[in-house]
Amino acid sequence: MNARTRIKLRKTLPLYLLLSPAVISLFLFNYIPMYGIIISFKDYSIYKGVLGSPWVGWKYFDYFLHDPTFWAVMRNTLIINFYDLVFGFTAPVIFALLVVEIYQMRFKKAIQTISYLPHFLSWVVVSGIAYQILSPTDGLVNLFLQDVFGIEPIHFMMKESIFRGILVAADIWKSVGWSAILYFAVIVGIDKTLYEAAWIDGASRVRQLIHITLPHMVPMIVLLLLLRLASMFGIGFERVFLLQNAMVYDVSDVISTYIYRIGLVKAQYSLTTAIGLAQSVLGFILLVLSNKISKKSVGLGLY
Amino acid sequence: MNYRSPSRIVFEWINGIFMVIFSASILIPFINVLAISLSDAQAARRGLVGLWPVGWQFDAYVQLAGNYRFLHSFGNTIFLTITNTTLVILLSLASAYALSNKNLLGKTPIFYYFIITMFFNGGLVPTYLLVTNLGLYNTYWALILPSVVSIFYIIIFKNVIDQLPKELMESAEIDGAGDFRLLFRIVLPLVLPMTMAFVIFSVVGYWNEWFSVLIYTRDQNLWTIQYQLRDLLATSELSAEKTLFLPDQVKVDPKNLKMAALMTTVLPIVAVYPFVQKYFIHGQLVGAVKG
Amino acid sequence: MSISKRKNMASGLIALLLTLGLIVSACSKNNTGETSPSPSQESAKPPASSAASPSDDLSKKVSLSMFMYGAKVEGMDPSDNPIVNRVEELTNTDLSVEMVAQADFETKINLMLASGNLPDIVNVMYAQEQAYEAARAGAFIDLKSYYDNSPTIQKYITPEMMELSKDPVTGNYWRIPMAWDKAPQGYGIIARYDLVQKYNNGVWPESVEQWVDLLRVIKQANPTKSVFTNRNLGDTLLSYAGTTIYQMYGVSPYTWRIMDGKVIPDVLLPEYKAATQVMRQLYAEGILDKDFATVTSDQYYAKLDNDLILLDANSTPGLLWNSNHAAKDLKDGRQYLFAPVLKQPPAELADMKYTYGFRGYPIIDQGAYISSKSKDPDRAFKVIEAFTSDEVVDNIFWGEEGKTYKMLDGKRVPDLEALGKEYTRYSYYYAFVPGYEGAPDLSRAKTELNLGAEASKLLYDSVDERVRLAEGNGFGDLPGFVLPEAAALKSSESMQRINQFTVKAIMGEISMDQFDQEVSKWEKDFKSLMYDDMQKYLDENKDKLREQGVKHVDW
Repeated sequence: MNARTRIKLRKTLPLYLLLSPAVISLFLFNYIPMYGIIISFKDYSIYKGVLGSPWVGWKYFDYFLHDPTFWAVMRNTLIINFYDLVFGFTAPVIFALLVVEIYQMRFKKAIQTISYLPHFLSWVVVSGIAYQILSPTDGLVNLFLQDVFGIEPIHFMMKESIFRGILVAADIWKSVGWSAILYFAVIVGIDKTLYEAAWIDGASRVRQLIHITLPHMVPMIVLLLLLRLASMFGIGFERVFLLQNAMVYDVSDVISTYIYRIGLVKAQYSLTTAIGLAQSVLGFILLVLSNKISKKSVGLGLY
Repeated sequence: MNYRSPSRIVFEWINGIFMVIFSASILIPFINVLAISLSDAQAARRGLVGLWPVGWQFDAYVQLAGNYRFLHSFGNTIFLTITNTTLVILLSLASAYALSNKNLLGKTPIFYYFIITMFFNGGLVPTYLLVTNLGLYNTYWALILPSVVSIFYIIIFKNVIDQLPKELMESAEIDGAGDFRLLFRIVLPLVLPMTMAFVIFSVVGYWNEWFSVLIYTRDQNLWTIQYQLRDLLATSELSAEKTLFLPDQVKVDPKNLKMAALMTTVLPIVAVYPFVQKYFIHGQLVGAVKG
Repeated sequence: MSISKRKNMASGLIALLLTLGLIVSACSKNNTGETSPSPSQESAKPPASSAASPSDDLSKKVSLSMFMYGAKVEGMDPSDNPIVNRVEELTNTDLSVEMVAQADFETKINLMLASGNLPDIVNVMYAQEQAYEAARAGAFIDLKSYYDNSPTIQKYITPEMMELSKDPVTGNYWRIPMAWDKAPQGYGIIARYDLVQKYNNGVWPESVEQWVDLLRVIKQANPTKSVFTNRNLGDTLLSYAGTTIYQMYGVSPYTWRIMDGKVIPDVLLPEYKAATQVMRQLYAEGILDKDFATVTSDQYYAKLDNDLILLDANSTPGLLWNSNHAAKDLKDGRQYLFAPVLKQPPAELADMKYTYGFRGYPIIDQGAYISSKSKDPDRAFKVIEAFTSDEVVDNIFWGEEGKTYKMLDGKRVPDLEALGKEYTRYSYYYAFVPGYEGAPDLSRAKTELNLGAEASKLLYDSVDERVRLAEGNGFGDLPGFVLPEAAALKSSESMQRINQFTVKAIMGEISMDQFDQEVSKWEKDFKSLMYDDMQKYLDENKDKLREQGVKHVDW
């Protein structure tokens, strides 16, 4: 090999050393157990083990691919994820920018701290709050509507047209503060002299935001967006499970609740693993594709 | 105070009001949680508690903490949290630095190697079997090693490092700095805010971790706080309801305990955040208020 | 060395150490992948060694491990407490016990089964099918011969109970089941008798209309309080208080009955439609709460405590719990009793017997198993026997005289506070053969202490009445029938559909004609899938079931 490659090799070695703990750990705890994926092609019985269970090929994939319920929940999953993306993903960005615009230091610190508190509430608590506030008999919202506007109580939680919105809104309330932490970290890193220069040039706050703050945030936004896209085919179980009820099933039942119900019928490892595998493959493909598109268009990507 | 346009003033007012409403919407339920945890069992059960405890009692917390195992679990949790956080941050930084280095041969395959693990997983049983076969069952290692890699952190760190001005790194290289030196003296200070963010995420995550304790341990002396809490809640729920064995000691309703347990999950962040908040507060913006 | 150089070395060292550590621990164990136990052909038959009576030689001390269901109490070590210590003495063993609570039990037991690392004695709950499956593959031994030679166990488990716990596929007896026959039987409509006294002069309503009238009266007098509610349990949207009207009509949204030899899902019956119409009426009048379809468990408990819920539906343990809770904590003079059957049943009801409920099974699916890898199954069985011995069982439930109970006129009187502190909060988990409900006299004594003798008698009389009616019906269900997988996977959907059209009809969002259409649609989509196999099983096994005491096969 030529000198350049030799130099590169010499320089790479310490890098490999730096990578080695992660590589070895992943090999041990992720790659070795990966044979478990085969379960989706077998009639898995826990005691017989992966090797001892009989091979059934595509049987379980056939089952769910031909189940109309599966397609219904997949549709819901994608739609709700889409709303989550449009509203839930942008909320922390906007929130972070708004907090930056607060000048009273104490107020700012307080807001930041308070905003991430709901992250610690479990969905059990949050769903309880939601049911309480939106209750048609004694919920705050309905009482307010009745007293002020004289409107009949509305069953918010049971209306198909509103329910997805409730799902998304609840998630925003719960996570906007916590998710904004990453954006705060980025904003803090922006060179202050840029703002000074802009101010001297007479740029308004809004212009500063558009031309300085936002561009610095774009790489992080793109990154997080790509990662978010990769999980479009799955969705958090607890939020949906706890907030939904029979009247809104058609619009709110998602793939994770579908899997949960299957899991309740005992010993459905193969079926649930098969669905999980399908989700993984789809998510992976989506990630690779969107990464390519992102690199071609804005020059930013995961790798 | 410098001049601010009328539209600016309006904006600041609206922003402020919005923030106040938002904060209130968070504080009110939280204070309610705190109040329930400090109320007596009947009031908690009957949903009679508003923003102030009804029938003050600290029994829920006493039950949580007055436990003879509590101190030990607390120690375990602190140890595991610090160890895991340190390891995961170090590993992520090291890996990210390596991945962002132009000298790395085979960068793309290595990336795929990492990213695939984000999607594909063998499942609980094979992982459990591996850990057991490595002889790690019922040891601290089982609570540390499997979770020491975070692809998410690595990816984000890598991108942040990519964004750093190349000149800094190049000039240091010319000066003869080795990779380790580059990493710690130059890169780390520049990515400190992001690192602190991840420190917070990790501390909170590991503090609340209980599942690994459930599946990988047998002895009580490996327990962590959250697992202990979970166990305690399971007990109280069971005895308070269906069985014939009536709750002779009704001083603490499961509801009190749940709320008290919830307050303890908030503990680490409340303890840690004040020290790291300076990394997330954008200082006084020039052009608004001088000085 | 400069600081930076030190840092470099430190980080390099850390990387190296981590790597080495991982390598070392990886190599230290035989990395043979998973241990899949070879399913030996013989494991299906009972092992020959235990054919004779288990060895009585207790001279050698043996170490045994046990995994069981239970929730820990602070200050209590599951391996080191009076109960376990006594068992260790009696059997000359060193017992190490691991206890896992309900929420995580299934996860843990599945993992243990998967890894083949089973302790000697395993107490399984909620995971019976998995345990049986594992047993068929060789995880556990057959216990029949041990049972046959053990009068201690036979005291609690009759031969019929062993038969009921038999593996339907192989005929093996994998477990000693938990007895449930002493558990208070009975299930039915529970009413607030104090409200009947206040608003109806203590006269029990005799028909559905009279109950509705009573509800109207109470609601009018207390417009802001809730008088009729429900408890939403996810797939089981209508449960507890929400099912009371349905029960008066002898139906329930999610079950089936046998009529003229045919298995009929309740939703198809005229009784179901009539009951739904009553609910619709109640909703329109505002008697049934507007939020009935989304009431969470917490809200339900709060409503029971705070409001004037006239009707509830629950089993006897629930009734007893509510009564004790009312007497001890609420102290507002309320009284819960099982409501007597309607003297003027609704016209649509085909037969009163459909409102009586069924006799409870004498066992539940908890059980004690012995692992096939145990080094001393004889001694392991002795341990199970020791937990079932009179002395230990007595200790488990009553505790110690003087400490947790005292003798008064030859009767035992429990000291509630002492019991609450120590025993009954943890010890009864060890009663895995006599059953958690193995001391009915204890609960009766406790109730009497709380309610007073007179109120307690009234309560138990209403319970006895329900039990009498239920016994007359024999066992319910079809023991031995297993719902095929295809049907089981659809059952949740079926329930959701039922929930939807029932709730919509109640809320007036669809007309009763549309309700009929929805019912027909449900029938087309689900009835065959879910009930044909059941019908077949019934037809083929009528005689066998009748012998077992399942009387409703002849309805």
